[in-house]
Amino acid sequence: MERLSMEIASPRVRVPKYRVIRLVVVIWMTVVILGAFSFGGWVLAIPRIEMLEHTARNLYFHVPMWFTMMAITLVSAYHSLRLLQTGQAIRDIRARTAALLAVVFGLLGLATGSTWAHYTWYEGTNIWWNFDPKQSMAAIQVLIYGAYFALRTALDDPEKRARIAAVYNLFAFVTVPFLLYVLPRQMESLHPGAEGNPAFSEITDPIMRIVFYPAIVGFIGLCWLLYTQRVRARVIEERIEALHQPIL
Amino acid sequence: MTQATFILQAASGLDEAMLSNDKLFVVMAVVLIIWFGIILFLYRGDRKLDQLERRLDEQESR
Repeated sequence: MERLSMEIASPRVRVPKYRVIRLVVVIWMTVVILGAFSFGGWVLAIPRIEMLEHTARNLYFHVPMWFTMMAITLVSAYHSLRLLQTGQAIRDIRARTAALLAVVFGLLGLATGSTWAHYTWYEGTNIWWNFDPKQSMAAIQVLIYGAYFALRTALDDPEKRARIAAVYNLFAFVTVPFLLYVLPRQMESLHPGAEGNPAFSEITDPIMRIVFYPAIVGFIGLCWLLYTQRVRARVIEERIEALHQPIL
Repeated sequence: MTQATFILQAASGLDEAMLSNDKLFVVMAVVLIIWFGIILFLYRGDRKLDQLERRLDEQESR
């Protein structure tokens, strides 16, 4: 395998394309936010369900965290696979940055879910963490991705680190559908989709889909912006390091 | 009429909208302010990266 640092400069982030997507995401998400809060006199009237009340709108914010996490773990796994095929250092940077965002969105998903449940299903109790299967599995999932970073810090040689981390990352990705989909559906849960139900609950008004699906796309787009920004910053770091290395 | 009550009456259309529907639109306004703040931060960060890349290009071409 060639030296990793030699190839760092080759496939860089395409900034003009990034700028276009950035503008689209910014406008898109603004519309999603307006849609998420509109009802009654406005266009999208959502039903008021006892206990849920306005918190039903959390569907637009909490659930996309998980879709985003799954999307970015796919990106991370793809670049890990490419790293093993090509040995390009940029693949390691991309895989690592994507895994970091997977952890961020996973933690956001856990925090928002916990807050939502506390004031609805567990209103009047002191419960913040109720060991709902989906919640527990999601926490394990975040820990699996957290271990990826622990593994990285344990390895000093950049080439070895990139390769071993990539192999681990592929294993981590394989667990995603099982932990977030298959297992929680086998057990009793307050999440829709439990015990073989359809994922979109039958008490969920279809009108919510008008905002829900765009919200998923919007949050994935936002995640992509943060990811690309981070990748650019990392590439700059590597280039500075390369400048300071003595020329042989 | 004091100035304060005059302003209040002039803005009553907006007030009415903001106070309707259990004051939900107040939350929307707050979320939008946060969102615009995040956008600004994102753009500023990108500009910083643009500058760094330009400087690096110059140094590397030397």
